[in-house]
Formats: sequence, structure tokens, C-alpha cells
Amino acid sequence: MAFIEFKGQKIEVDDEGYIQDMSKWTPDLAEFLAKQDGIELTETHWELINWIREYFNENQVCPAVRLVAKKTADLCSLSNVKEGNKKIYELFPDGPARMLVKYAGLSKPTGCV
Amino acid sequence: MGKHKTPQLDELKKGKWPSFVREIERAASKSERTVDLLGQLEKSYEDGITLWKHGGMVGVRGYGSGVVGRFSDVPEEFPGVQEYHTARVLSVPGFFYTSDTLRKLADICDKYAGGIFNFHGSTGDIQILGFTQAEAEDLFQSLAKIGFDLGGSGSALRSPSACVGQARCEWACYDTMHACREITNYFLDEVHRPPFYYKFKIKFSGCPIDCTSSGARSDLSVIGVWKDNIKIDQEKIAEYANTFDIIKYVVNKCPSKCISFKEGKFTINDKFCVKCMHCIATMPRALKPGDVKGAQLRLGAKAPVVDGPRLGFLLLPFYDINKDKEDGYSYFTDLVQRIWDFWDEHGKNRERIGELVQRFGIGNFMEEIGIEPHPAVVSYPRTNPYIKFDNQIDKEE
Repeated sequence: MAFIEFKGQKIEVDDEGYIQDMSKWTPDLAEFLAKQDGIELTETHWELINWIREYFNENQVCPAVRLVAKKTADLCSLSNVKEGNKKIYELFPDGPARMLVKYAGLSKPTGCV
Repeated sequence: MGKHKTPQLDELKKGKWPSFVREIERAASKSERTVDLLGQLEKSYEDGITLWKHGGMVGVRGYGSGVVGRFSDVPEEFPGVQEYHTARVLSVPGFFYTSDTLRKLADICDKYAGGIFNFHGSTGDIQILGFTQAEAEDLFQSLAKIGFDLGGSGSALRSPSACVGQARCEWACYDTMHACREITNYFLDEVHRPPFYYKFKIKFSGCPIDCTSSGARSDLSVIGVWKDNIKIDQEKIAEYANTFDIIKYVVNKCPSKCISFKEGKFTINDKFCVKCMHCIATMPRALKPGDVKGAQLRLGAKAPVVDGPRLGFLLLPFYDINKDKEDGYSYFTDLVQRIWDFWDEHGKNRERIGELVQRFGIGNFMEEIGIEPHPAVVSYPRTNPYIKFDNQIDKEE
């Protein structure tokens, strides 16, 4: 198992950098993980991160990518889901599963994504 | 291969026919990591289980699909396959390549990956096997330089694929390759950035023989058909009659029993023809598809995962794709968009369109996407006598 050093504590992550213990997540950690990928988290990033964490707490599973696209379209006042889906890649260039979920401190999505 | 002992794999090299083990060994002679692929495969034969982890978060910047993660369960033993990912590369419709293009692709595969391909995967993509996440971006950029792009994976529109169509086949009822190329370009966003609840596949076959097996494995299959009568050349029929028993091999094999062969005259009752093409394929010189050509659309075929396998149901018995070609396939793209909108509104996570339509009812589905049901799409009339006649009774009153 790999670890990342953050604020003096060691946080366990899997091979791909997803944190293993969700209770270790803090907003600062999200900023830290994003910065490693060269991303500055804006307000829209945070709205999505908070929304996906809420969804996870309710359902114990990550939302379908379709719902993420809908939410993004709503947040950014875009005309349709298609535009919302494109916008996700402007916010999180490596895609929602590899960035949004990781920064939100959730477990890795399953399935052939 | 020296490094690993592979007695069970060696069994699979025996005989004169091609062997995947021999091919992997040839790749391994140039690629250190592929040596470990052989080792891991031998071990999984010994243990009786696969030693790959499921999935994994890999990809290239800006795309949500196109790279399929493969991580080894036993990386300590086989470090070369710790990461051994797959890239799905959009194939050329009809699978036409120059030998020069193949060499360039092979050079890229040798340089950034494990030196082996799936050519093509059952998705219809060229698959380049055996690279790490760190190499993914370079691999992708060098593919782009020779004009190739990544295809679909995950909950995306999977790379559309087409049979060889009018390029090499006398039976193609429409230009499958052109349609595939245009539709792929039109929906490229949906290929690269997964927008759905689950995968969606479109396949194009030029005739009902369906060389891409689209009717069994694509959510939306576009299959060429003709509307008028099968063309019969009685002289050629007579020639066939001299070489084999037409009654036994053609007439009796017709699924809708609409053929007769009496006193040397071959007739087809085209009203009842279900376009299986058995007679045409058995006597290709004597019988030919009609002249009014187009395509039928079937929806909802899928493999067993989640809810059991299913064949597509007939959505449109005849659609004039040859005319739509002149309009840039606008009818087709519109229809697909309406289907996706319906899926978007009513679907659930990991539910394919076929399952959704079954849950929702075909009638309701067709009403929502604005398609008039055609008698040809009804397999048999309703036999249930418990039907409400409220409306009719009201009218009479």
C-alpha cells in the first residue's frame, strides 16, 4: 500500500492515489490532491465535490456519469446535458472518475469505466 | 522463453495452425514486459483463476474513455505486467489499411506498449496491449500523428463498426462504411467522454446476413434490407438444379415457407419473405436482393451482463438510409438523439436501452420518441381478451 504525506500525517492510498479511509478526508486534502495534478479548485469544482460527497453519503455509491453531467449543466447554466458533459472535462481534464471522485475522497468507481 | 517455465502454454503451440502463445512469444522476444505476460498466464492456468484485477482508473487527458486499465494481481512475481493497459483505437470502417499504416501502428505498439495487438477486438477497435499510465499520453499523441484516434470504453458510445459493405460486397443495400464514418464523426463527443448510464453500441451491416452480428450485440443495429421482390434468374436456377437438390437445400430451409419450385419454375411469395437471405446465399448467381434498398433499425440487443442476453427488436422495418445519406444522415442522428433523451430521462445506472424499453413497454417507448408503430413490427396480434373498450363505448354513447 502506498501513502501520501500530508500535514505531518501519513494517509493511506491505493495504487492509483485514491484515499482508503474516507474519514481522513478534509477540504485541505482535496486542494492538495488537485494541486498535485496542477489544478486550482474553483467554486464550481467545490460545488461538484460537495454534491458528489452528499450523493455518496446518501447512496453509498458514486453517481452515474450522466447525473454528474446534469449537475454540471445546472451549475454552469448550460443548455443541455451534452454541454454539461463537455464542461466536466474543462474542470477535470482527466475525467470525473479520475479527478472529481479522487479529490472528493470517495472510493474508486467500479465497472469498466 | 527462458525466464519462466511454461509447460502448459507450450502445449498450445503444438500443431500447424496459428497459436496465440507463439504470437505472444514473438512479441516477448522484443519486449521484456511481455515475457511476464507469458509467466502470468502460465500461473493462472496452474491456479485456475485469472490474475488480472478488474478495471482501474487510467486514461489520457481530455478523454474519459479509450484506455482500459489492466493491473496484475501478482505484480511482485511479474513486475512487467503490473500495469498492462489496453488502448482502444478507432478502426477504419470496413477494416481497410495499407501495409504502410500497419507498419506505423506496429512501430508505435513496439515503442510504447508490449508489442501485441488485438486486431480487432470484438468491439471493432484496434487494441494496443501492454502500456503503463505514464506511457499513455505519448502513445495517444503518436497515434494522433498518423491520423488515429481513441475509441469508446465505459459508459460511452462504443466505436461504431461496419461490415465491408459496398466496397467489396454485392449484397450491401447501403454504404455501410460511409454511414459508419459519418455517424462516428457526428457523435465523437459521446465516444470520447462517456455520457450515459451504460454503454451504447451502433453497428452497420449491409444486408441481413449481418456480418457484424449487429442484431445480437449492438444496442442499435442498422441492417440493410430491400423492400421489393427478390430478383430471380430462372436460367441460372436451372443450372443450380443440375448440381444440387433445390427442394432439399433451399425450398425446405425457407423459414417462412414462401418458396416453391415446381416444374422447373422457382417462385417466391415475397409478401411472406422474412429476408433471411438463405436462398440468395445458397444460389448467389440466380437470386439477388431487390432494387428498392434501405435499412431496418433494431434496438436493444445486448450480451448477458446484468439482465440476460437479448436480441434487438424491430424498431423501423424500412428506413431510406440511401436518401438520408444525401441529407447527412440527419434523420438517423435525430432519432438516436431522441432515443438517448428518453434513456436519459427514464434510465437507471447500468441499464442498457433494451432493458429500459422492456421495463417501460415498447408501445410507450415508441410514443415517447415519436415513431408510429408499423404492423410489421408486431410479431403476433394480441390474444388476451381482457381489453378495456372504454373509449369505444363512450363513442357509441
